[in-house]
Amino acid sequence: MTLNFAIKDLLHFKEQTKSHLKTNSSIIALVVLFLNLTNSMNLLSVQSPLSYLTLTLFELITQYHRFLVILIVILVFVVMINSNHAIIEHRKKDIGIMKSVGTYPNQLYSFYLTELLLLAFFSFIIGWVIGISLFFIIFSILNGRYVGLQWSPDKFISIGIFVGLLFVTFVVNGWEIRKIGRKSFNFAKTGKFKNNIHAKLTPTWKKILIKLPISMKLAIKNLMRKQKELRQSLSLITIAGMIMLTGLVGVIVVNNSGVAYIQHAQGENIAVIGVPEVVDAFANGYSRFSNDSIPELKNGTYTDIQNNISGIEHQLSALFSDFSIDSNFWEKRLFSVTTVTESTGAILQYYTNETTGLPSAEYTTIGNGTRTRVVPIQGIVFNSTIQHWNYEGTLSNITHGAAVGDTLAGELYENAFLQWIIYSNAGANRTFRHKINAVVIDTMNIGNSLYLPLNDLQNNLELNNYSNLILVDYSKALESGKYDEFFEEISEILGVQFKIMDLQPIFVHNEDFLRSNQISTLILSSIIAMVIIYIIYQFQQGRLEEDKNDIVIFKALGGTTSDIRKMLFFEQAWLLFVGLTLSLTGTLFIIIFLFMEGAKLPSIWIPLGLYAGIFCFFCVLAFIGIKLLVKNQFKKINQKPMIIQSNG
Amino acid sequence: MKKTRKTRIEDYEEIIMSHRNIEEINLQPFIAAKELVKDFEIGDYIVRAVDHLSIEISEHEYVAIIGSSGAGKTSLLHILGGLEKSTKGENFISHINVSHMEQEMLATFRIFNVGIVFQNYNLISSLTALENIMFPLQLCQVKYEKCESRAKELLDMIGLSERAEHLPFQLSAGEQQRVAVARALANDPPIIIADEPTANLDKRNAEFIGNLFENFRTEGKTIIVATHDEKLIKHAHRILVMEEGKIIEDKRINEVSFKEENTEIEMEQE
Repeated sequence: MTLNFAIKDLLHFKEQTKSHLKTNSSIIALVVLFLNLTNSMNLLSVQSPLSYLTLTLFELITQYHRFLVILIVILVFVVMINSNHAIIEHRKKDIGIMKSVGTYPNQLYSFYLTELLLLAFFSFIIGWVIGISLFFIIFSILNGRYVGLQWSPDKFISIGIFVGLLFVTFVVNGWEIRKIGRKSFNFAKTGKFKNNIHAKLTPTWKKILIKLPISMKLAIKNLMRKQKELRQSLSLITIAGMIMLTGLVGVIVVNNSGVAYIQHAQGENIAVIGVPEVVDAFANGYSRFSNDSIPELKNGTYTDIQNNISGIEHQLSALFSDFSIDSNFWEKRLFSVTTVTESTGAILQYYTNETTGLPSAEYTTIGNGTRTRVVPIQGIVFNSTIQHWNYEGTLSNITHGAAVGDTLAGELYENAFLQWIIYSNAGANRTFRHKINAVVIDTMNIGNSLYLPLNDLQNNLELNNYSNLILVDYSKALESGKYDEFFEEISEILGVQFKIMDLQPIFVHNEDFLRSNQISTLILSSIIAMVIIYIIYQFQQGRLEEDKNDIVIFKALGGTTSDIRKMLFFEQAWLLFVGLTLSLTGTLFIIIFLFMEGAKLPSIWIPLGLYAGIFCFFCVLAFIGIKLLVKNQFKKINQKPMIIQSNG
Repeated sequence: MKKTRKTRIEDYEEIIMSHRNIEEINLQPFIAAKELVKDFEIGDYIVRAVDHLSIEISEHEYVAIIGSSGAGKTSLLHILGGLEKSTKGENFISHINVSHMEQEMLATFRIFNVGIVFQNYNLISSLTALENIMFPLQLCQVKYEKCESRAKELLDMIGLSERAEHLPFQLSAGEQQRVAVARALANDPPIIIADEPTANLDKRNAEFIGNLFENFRTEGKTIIVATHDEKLIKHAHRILVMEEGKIIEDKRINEVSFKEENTEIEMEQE
């Protein structure tokens, strides 16, 4: 009987059921599409990072997408609760009548809860089918063209949302129905107002309102007094606005941070000098960031004695000083590629002993000591390097320790700072261990790289006073317009054995590549924006439908269509203003406090500008929507008998 | 061409001026319907609510319309009050032909001429009793202080001063209807249109409303009321009986008193 009643009731209010199904399904479709796309772009989990990103960049991007997923999932729940609430409000009169003819509260509860659960169930099924179909279409269009996608439909979060929606309906809206079931028949009178509302205006409000035109006055009074509606509208607009603002500001943060990270990781205006084989290997290390067709670095030493650049160091130094490039702008390095292994480590863990109740501690082993990588290894002088990396730990005064790239640190270690890196000198048949002092954000070999003090590496490889690369920052030559001259003169000194390569084109390519990869984020943000615009429009239409009676009275009493439009517009504008202001606050909170440390935040004017832009856009949308809706409403009224319903 | 918004009074004056000179206007009946037809589309059907109906109502006259449910009383009232337009025929309010008036002009015209009382009160749900009464005055851009004092005066008249700050849902049915009547009087319109104003009320409240309508009659308002309530019918000068969108009977029950009262009112006005 319960199921029968619920189905009949849903079918009886066909138009309302359709409208709720449309809104709920569209937001569920959005979340399903978004989840599947981000999952297929590997943007939700750091377990399987994309090949072109270093771990830090990847963490930032996944963090951004996770925030969006969380906000959209919250929006799904807010929309569902609001939608169920609207249905309960609509059925209040029927519930009252059923009570008056002797229906038990428990029966009422099961009738209407079944109805809401059915609606939630079908909303999810329809939304899921639409979302997965859209995902399939977008996947087919995008795959291999603009962004790399892997077919990996989401299962767990979608199931979680489905269960969550039924649970929320059961708990939140079920509680609401129970509450109504226990109330007296007269509850139906209160409608959207609180029973104990004090409608008297305070003198300040009175003063403010006197000066305002009637349509604005009415809009404010509507908002002040219909508090239940106000709460619903605000929660929806705030979350929707937060998704849009976080989405847009997040794109800028991710983009800026990404570019800033790789600028630091690479440097600017840097040229590298050495024998062609070493220079090419070094350049390829950076090129691999944006070009996955570059082969992996060859596991070799690059340390033949003929590669020693120290022989021409004096001549180069003299030439650098001719171009005002002092010793702070060039450095010697020893570059090689080797196989590294993680070490096991131990962490001290504190706990309370259950039997004695006293604090105790024990060591837990971390790392299994078997994971290996083939990585470039560089001997550098840490406190005079011309690349100014972003790093964690201690970098400037490393004496016998090591610095590792962020991807290597993330993939090879449980806790890099408590572990060592191990490599061997094949020639000498010796193994070396270096304690990890710093983790640098690095584009070299996509963050899989190792840096050691120059002296240490020279000693370990038994190559005292040997270096095979010189890095030079040629900014000063560029500033004085002597770029070509600088490179020509160096080439003359280098002869045929050595060569110089400007790394700037590779660096720029990396930056452009990172920017172009934001296209996926932009596609996702556009989809979100479109669905949110649709939801807000639907919501606006629903509100207008609910206020239809007041609008008809307003008109009957002599209010003009433009007065009505203005009143509705001001109401929407106030809601948007307050809702979006809360969204802005939430977005700023997320960006300032929750985004990972070191994320490059944009100027405050950017979120403010976006806030103003979104506000204006939605105001225009509200204006157009209201114009159309009021027109349709009056068209309906003119075609059918004017039914002005009771307030009581 | 889009009309520039002026004050309601300027708009109203423009409406009057646009309808020829005052002498010519006065030649027209005060309220009239000529061959009125009103059709409604309901699904695939067309329902004729008013069927070639003609009627003239004099100034200061109190007319009660009776008839069974679906006879077309409400539709006729809405057309005579300028709330809706007829499908065919002509309609005069305050001597002016409003049949071809634009909706916006009609709204302005209505606010100065017609006070409407609905069966279901139809107070604006988010406004208090006081604000509901002030509302038509505010639409005419009357100063806030004047609106407030007039609304308080009307609240006093209906005996609800102490409920001024209550929202409609906090009032009883009788109280809501009293507020609706007060709202209809806010602009002191010459015509009061009421659609079954006592249908949802108990005896005491119905009597109260009946007495208010009697007062309106003595003040010289033109009243058209659709009702079955004896308390309202007994004060009427004339009873129209409707059936299937037509007037099947037009009874003048208090013709002598109407003429006497009319003379008194005209003398007072002079």
